[in-house]
Amino acid sequence: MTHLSDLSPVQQAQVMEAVVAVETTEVPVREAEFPGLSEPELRAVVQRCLHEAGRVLLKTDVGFTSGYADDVAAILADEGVGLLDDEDRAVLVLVLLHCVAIPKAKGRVVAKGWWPGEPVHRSEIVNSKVPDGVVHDALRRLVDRGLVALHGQRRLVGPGPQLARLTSDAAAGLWEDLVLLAEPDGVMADVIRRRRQREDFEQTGSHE
Amino acid sequence: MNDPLQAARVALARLRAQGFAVPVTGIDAAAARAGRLVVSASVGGTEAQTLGWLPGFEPVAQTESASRATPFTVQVLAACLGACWHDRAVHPWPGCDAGEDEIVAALDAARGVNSDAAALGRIRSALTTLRESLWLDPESRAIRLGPRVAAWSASQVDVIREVYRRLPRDPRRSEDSR
Repeated sequence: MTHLSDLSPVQQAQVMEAVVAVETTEVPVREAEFPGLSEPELRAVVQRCLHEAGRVLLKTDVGFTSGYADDVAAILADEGVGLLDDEDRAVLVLVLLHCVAIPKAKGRVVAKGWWPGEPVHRSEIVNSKVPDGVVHDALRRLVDRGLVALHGQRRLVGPGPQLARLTSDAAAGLWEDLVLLAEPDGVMADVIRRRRQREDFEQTGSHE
Repeated sequence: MNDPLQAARVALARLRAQGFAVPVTGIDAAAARAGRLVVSASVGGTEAQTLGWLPGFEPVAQTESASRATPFTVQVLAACLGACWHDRAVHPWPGCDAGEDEIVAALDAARGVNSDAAALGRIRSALTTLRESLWLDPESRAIRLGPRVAAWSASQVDVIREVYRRLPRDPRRSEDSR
């Protein structure tokens, strides 16, 4: 296994340029612009560097980004680290329902994942059971976190680029949560609940 | 968690997720293998760690947190730097505590207007954003530079040093005191 320190100074710079890009750039970066991503040997070292910090390299429809490794994300979530409060979570769900779930159900959004979705007018998010002031405050915090993006002179609201940093398992889990929320008595919800119960049982059993 | 490599992975990820955390020993080597640097900081007067980059590999392009900030929030951050960083020769962190009135006076002087109630509200909102995003100490009532500033490397500080004299400052404070 090759580590960063095993490489020549030039290769180290190429790897770190890619690591810094995927870790700090707002949106996914293009493979062709970074030898650390386009050359398989160097990309493996990029993945190694990210792994050491509990991160993974993610390939999206538009380029590469990075996210938390699923095992590390689960530990942090158990600790309560990085969790949204209830109000922010409720407003994010509204954004995802209006901008991804509904357009996807109507066939207007075909891209996999949650970003960039289809922005909607801010009023569609505000007109909900959540009080207006709560929605506005939560949207500001979600924009600051990159979980929501504003478009069209800040009148339109859409999913933010941080959602591109979800692993495929995390993105699928979010989709399942929305199914459980939107149609809790449906067949899909029942299948999801049963599978999660089985996985919880297996996980608990494997720890004993 | 018995596996030290796994413990280091989680500790480094926690630093990224929270922006800072209580100090953990034995993660410097793992950080270096990741191209990162564990930096000492303090939050609310309590010792903490934050995450920087190995010297020579720091981001030079606009990073995601910076690109999300509005120009006004950046201007308020510049005023906070001007109020808290009194010695150009040293790293701006930890710097000195400042009052909100110094930030308002610095911004008023820079813009040539006196802030009305609406402008004060915008400044306070920007200060809240800067605390939430850890450019300012989130647990200090005074204006105090936060862990993100602590994580600036020497070369990143050199870039900011270029604009030291152009940072908005409270004209009531004597230039000589700096």
